[in-house]
Amino acid sequence: MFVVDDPLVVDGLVVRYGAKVAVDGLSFRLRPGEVYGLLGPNGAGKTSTIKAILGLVEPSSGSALVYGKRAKDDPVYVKSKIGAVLENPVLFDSLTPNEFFEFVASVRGVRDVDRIRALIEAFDLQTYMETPIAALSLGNKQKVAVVAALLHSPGLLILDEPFNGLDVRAVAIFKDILLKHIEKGGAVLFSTHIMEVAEKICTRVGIIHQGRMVDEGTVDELKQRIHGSSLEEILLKATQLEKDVAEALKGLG
Amino acid sequence: MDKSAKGRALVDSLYKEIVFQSYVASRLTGLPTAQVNRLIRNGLRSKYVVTGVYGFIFVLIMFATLTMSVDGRLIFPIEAFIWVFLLVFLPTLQLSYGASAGGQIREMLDTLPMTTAQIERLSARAILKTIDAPLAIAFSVLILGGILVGPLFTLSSVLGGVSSLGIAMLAILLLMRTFRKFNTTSRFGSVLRMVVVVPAIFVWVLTGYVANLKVVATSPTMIYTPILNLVGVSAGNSSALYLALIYTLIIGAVGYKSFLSASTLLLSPLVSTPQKAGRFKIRVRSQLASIVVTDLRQVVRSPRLIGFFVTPLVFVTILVYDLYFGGAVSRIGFDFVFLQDIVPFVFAISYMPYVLYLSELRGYSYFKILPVRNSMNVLSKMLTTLIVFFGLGSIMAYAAYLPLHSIYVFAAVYSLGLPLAASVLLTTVYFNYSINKMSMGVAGTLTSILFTVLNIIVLGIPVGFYYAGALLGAPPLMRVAYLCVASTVELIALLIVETRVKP
Ligand SMILES: Nc1ncnc2c1ncn2[C@@H]1O[C@H](COP(=O)(O)OP(=O)(O)O)[C@@H](O)[C@H]1O
Ligand SMILES: [Mg+2]
Repeated sequence: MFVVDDPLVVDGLVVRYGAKVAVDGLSFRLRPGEVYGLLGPNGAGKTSTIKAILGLVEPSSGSALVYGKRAKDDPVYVKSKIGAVLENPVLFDSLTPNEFFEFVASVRGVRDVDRIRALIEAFDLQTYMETPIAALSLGNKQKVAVVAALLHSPGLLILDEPFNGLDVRAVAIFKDILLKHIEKGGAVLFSTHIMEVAEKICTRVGIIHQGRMVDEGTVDELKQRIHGSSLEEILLKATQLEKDVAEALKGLG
Repeated sequence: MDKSAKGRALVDSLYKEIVFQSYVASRLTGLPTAQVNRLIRNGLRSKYVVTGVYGFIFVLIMFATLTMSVDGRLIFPIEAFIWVFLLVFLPTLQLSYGASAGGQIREMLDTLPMTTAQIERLSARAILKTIDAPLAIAFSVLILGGILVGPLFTLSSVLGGVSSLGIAMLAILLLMRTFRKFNTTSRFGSVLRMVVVVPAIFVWVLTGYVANLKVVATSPTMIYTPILNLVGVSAGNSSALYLALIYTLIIGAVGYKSFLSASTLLLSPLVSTPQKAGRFKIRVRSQLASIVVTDLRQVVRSPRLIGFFVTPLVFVTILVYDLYFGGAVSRIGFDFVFLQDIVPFVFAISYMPYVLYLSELRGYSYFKILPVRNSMNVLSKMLTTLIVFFGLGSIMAYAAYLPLHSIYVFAAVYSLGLPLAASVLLTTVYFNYSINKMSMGVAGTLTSILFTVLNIIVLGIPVGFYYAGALLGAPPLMRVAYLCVASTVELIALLIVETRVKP
């Protein structure tokens, strides 16, 4: 019997840095066609979760299965299934975007040069193709990282704060690409603290706080359950940061 | 806090930031705090390591001079000139490469309530602080040594040291200016970064020239040629002294101005040249080829890493000269040349894989999300290293072949490819081990020393077998066979270890 495995199954994931517990028993699942938003304040454990999925840090317990496999057991399989944009992507500074895309395409075995070209033009990078990545603006670096993540038409896109520094045009195109991607049965996991974006494109969101899942569901479900009108309000309520904010404001006088 | 104390505190933090930028930040981002602190400590400490090494060299030169004949001693100030140059030129150049974040430092300084002149003076002081200790030790030894050898030597060697400082600063300023004119990705820029080491090599080769210099203190050359006439100064010639005072003053002043401009330049933003839009070509390669190409590109574009790349090249140049034009092979025999020159050349190349891994580290967190098998990566490092070895090694073997006319020379040189391959595996194990320890390939001093020792052993055992063969009277090709067998055993052993240590 053939089992079609889901793009991502995270089960009881724990990530520790020494004594610090960054992710504390997190579980969630992504089905094909879903855009899942991982929401949470700074330090909630979003990046650590993503790193564990990619195999960049080893979980202390629990697991993350990408199309049925753990990064630890079959890193090449997992990495070929994922397209990732990491937080503060460290690219190859001395290469030009042109050389960088050549490198990523070659390593990932992408032969479709027209697709690469189309992506470059969609993100308006043509004029920067010969500039060393080190000399690009933050937004353009981010675009380079996004294009590199999309080159091989991955099944699962993992994006850590992907809208950092992107301009309006790029965000619009990016959203469009995400929608096309899930229409074709792909899945997207992304972390963000920009609520409008999450509200518009997520099919489901998980709110995490101090490494734990506080609440999970569609945006509408959460609105009803927590009695908030916007995702931002829901986040503040769910993570009980509302009181914090009030106190901080009082302190500032 | 009074004003000068405040200034000192600022210079201190600025100095720390410059060291951080040039030794640490250019390598990585996103390290845990403890690691960053350790790396900064290592960076700061490296100044004292350099000081120790140079102090030792200067003391050595001084004693060597003391043992010389009265005439021979006269070259002391010229030796001082050469070593002060290397002492200033190399570390400052290294600094100028790493500080690509210099622009940001400058912007931060510009927000402080100070005048531009104050900021520039502050930057100059902070940069001076990166070489102050080695300079102090050098001049102390020169002065003390001069007193031992004779007071005239103190005078001439200090004059030599000051001129040397000035010329080094001027050279650095000119190089920095030229660098900034060219894009890092241009071919010409890469070639330029390779030739940058030439002034240093030139001065280094000068030591050989100076050692063979026929010193006649009264000859016009030793009185009227700048720098060389420091010999005349040591011998007490007053014309030489006046001339030397004049040019030292001029060079010193030019050097001081150059230093101020260079330190300002060091902390100012790089302006990248505008690009023509439109045409671009995407060429997809095989996985192996693309890793090799990317590795080479990064190494060639990083002025820091290219130094490692150029070292073997320098070896070959000096060697070919020595073997072919100097006739060393016929003079001392191939076996000796093999041990004295060719094996060290392989040793220099054996550090390349480490450099390649280091370049990968710059994009490391990115590299880690790519589906590259570890074995494929090791293979790419091995391929690149062996390409360089066989390319340069062939030139060297050919130079040895010309006087000897024996094909055996090629067999001997090429056989060293095997222990070199073993060394690549050793480097891989070491590198993965450092990554696992989270020291990210910038291992502590002790592990680096351990690595060097192990590397010497890996290269040394097969070479030992070769000479054991020679001692036992085995014919030349048999000795090569011994070497090959020994390194094959190593290769297999390291392969087993390598597959056990996962990155
Ligand atoms: N390399 C590390 N070493 C130690 N602690 C870390 C490391 N990376 C992250 N942390 C800590 O783990 C927690 C979660 O961090 P992170 O996953 O980056 O959160 P988020 O991405 O949600 O902002 C934070 O408290 C952070 O300080
Ligand atoms: Mg994060």
